Amino acid sequence: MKFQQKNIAQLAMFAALCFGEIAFGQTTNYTLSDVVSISTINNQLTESWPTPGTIVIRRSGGLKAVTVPFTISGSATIHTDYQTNAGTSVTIPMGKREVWLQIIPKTDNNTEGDETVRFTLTTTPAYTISGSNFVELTIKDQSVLPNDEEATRFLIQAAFGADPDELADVKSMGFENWIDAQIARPKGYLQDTLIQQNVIPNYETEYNARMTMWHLIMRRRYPAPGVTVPTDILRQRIAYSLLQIFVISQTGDDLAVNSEGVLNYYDKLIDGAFGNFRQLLLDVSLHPCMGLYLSHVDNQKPDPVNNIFPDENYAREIMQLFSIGLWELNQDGTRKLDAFGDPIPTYDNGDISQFARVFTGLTWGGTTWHDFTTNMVVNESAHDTNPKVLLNGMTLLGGRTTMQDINSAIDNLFNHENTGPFIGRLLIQRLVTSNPSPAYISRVAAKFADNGSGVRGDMGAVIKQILLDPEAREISYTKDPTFGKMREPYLTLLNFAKTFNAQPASGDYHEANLFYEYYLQEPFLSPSVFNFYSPNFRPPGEMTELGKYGPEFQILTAVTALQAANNLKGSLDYAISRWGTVHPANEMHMMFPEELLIAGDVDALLRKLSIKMTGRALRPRSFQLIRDLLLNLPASGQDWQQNRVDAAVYMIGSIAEFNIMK
Amino acid sequence: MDNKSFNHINRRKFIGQASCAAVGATSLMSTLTNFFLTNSAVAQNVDFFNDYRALICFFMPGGNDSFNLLVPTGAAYSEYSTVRGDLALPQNSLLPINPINDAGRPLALHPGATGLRDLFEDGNLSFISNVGSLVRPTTKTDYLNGYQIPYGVFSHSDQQEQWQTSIPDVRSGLGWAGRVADMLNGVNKNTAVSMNVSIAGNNLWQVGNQVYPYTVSADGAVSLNGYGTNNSSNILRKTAIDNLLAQEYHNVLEQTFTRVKRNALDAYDLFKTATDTPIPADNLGNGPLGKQLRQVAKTIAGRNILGVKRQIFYVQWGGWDFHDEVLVNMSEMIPVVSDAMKAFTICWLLWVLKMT
Repeated sequence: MKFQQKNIAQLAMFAALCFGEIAFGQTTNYTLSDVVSISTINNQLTESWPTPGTIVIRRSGGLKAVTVPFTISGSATIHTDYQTNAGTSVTIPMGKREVWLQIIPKTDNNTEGDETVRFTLTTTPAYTISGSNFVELTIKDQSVLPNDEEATRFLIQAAFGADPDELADVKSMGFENWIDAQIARPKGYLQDTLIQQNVIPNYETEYNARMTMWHLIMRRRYPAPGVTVPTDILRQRIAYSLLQIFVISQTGDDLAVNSEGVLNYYDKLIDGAFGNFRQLLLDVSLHPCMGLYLSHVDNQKPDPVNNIFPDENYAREIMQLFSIGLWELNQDGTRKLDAFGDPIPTYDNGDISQFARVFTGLTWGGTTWHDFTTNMVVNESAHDTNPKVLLNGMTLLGGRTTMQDINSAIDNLFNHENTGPFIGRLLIQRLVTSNPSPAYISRVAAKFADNGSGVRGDMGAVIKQILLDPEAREISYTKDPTFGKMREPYLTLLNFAKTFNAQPASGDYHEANLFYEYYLQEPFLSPSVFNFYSPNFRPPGEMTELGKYGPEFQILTAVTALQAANNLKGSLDYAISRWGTVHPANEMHMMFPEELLIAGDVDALLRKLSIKMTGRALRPRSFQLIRDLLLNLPASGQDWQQNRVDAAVYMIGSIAEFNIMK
Repeated sequence: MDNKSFNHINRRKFIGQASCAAVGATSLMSTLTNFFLTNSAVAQNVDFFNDYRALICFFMPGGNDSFNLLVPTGAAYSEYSTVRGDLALPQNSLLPINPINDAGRPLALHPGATGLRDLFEDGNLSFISNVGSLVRPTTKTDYLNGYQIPYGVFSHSDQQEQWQTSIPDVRSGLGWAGRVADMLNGVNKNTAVSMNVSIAGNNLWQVGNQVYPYTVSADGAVSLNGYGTNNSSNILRKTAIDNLLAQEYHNVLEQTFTRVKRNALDAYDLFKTATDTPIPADNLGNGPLGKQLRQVAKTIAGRNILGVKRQIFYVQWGGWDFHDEVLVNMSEMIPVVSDAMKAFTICWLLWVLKMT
């Protein structure tokens, strides 16, 4: 019922008739008679997810305009159950070879079971019909449970793509129950995984942080070889996203050789994914890896005589990047303006030095030299005990301990009005769309302010709002020409691996082949605390002109745009992982059991792959072009099915419909 | 400002002003902007741009310890020695140079910088010292009072960013080479391969509003595998890809993605053609820096095929943030830079500009 208005709006939007392009590479003749066929680009419809079903009527042989009458039948009723732009016939214009007709399901509250719409071609002397003379589209009842398209789309946002097991879960549970179940799952910690992985004998390579993340997300072996356990994939996706906000990097020598410490830090993000933001901010602040990365470990109180002043790195970044950002924000994420219409800075250099003095007195914890897996501890003698003034006039009296000051500073930032909209926007950008509307940000910020039970900073509530928000879930928003985000390279890799169930026979997950070098992104290898791309990056061209952001485009260059496609081809032709060729048991191959069976039916193959990979049907023109390519590949000989499937995956994976998730 | 007066801007002064955000740079840039806005036909009608020029930035992430590259000798040495303490280079190890304008203060170079010394003594090198990214000329009192000082004075990432943006008090996503290229872009008759070419990946310095760096590796541009005209299956693939990328998308992200990919394919074809010509032997070696500079030389040699009159290159070799062992690390790395710059200059003088 609630979708009815959008149905109408959508109907008004869709084009009356779309025509295909002139045929190439096919024998055509103006005087020859036509051979006509009928097929579909999308044939599984749901009342509550009104994507159009597209019927395609093709002809070969002639070039003259040809009129093809048809009848529409089936158990569904026009105007009641669906709308269509199809009448009783369609004319394929001179020189054209395809026409596309659409039906859009209408929502009602009736339980009707699956209803069908059947298009049957009428036989006339003007042409002969090739293959079946009808197609049937299915319209499922409005349901609280998602269909394949919705569930796939959701898992691209909330997980790492439509893993077959997770897809089944989402479809049977629905979004909210799935999220609740994910939150309740045991935490998959990475430090623990690393340790277990490295005590397994006969491993050629010691696991590092990147390999451990890869292994845990693909989770086929932990806690013991051969044992598959449910993965807390939503938590992993959130932690992966948080690492792009609370950045540490192994590009520096000290952290590069301390993967266990780095993963101990990452596990704080695992805890924080559905924990409280205040605790997350404190955990990040006290971790020695962060202390080293942003240089507040062993930060000393001022000693002007010896020219010592507290290091300001952490003080600056905890404000700029980890909590409040540079500008005063309204709850909808827009900037507040002063009387002159200028944005208002959240802090100045004086505030930085106050916070820098707060973060004095932390030093290495643990019992061994530079223990990267134990929180920093205090050395009160190095702490600046003079009074401090934090943001919004919060005054800290003199003589307090390090942790008293730090807790006050964390409170100061945690309770700042900016923190909800600032962090909310960053997480929306990581999960759903690069340009969320102010209304979307304000709904997320409201959850940050109060989870409904009076608790501020409940990340579980924030994540739930981000993923269940109408702007994330309802199809009407995807029609906005600025909706969506580019899949970042590492997410793309995991989407392929999960969707096509890639696994090495050995269960041993090595690094993806030269990933950072190809793509300028790989977890734990950010070039700076500013992440691989800025949340405020605007790609040149249309998006800059419209003032729209596209963070991930910052690493889509003339090199990476082609490298990405080459690497996908290599993954299909050979294997995903770096060491595969050396140790065949470690080769990671994408699996296509369903697709290989239907490789002979190119339309069915493309329908299946486009839903699996993008959560939506390909646009008809893309469908047509990829279909042309596949039909020109041999349909016999060794491995022809595999070659066709590979080519289809490569082509879909290379175009905008896949690379922009929306 | 007419062409003539622009010509008279001393190049060193231009670079010095442009690379530190002195007030002069702002006014110079504004003047340039006006110059190009009011001379929209600049690219076509002026002799001024008939020559070829390139600006090559070698960025040293982490920051070179420049006080141990260009060192005062003579009377000033003792002050240097005192300030530097155990990081001071022994005076008798330094390589003296003979500037024409040393103002009575003799200078010398790091002992590993023989190549730079040779370039300097031959009149092919100058030093611009004591420049940095300030908001305005700043005294210690200004600093202590927090008066118009740059963001993150002691933060690596901030300072690297500011050297690249030349805007120390605003966090800008635009580099100064990118902004220069925005203004000069009309000079190049073909912009398929960007005016800004990076041999070292993406960087802020070369990002402008309209201009984005064309990044290639030291081994050349990246092609799309299986896309070409050399066999039937590649032709099929090429046809499909070309047609897919010719589509218009309503969604601006989809449209942007498609355009970037189309441009990447076009740029590759052009770049490959331009850099395919065999080049003479050189002394650049096969280390990371030498290989990058060889790619720069090849690209400049192909300038006529690329259709460019002005190019800006970015080369990078990192690891200058020595936490300890400064003297040892510098003694290993300075000769690499010094030798590469000399070898590149020899290429430039001998053949780079002679190839057409």
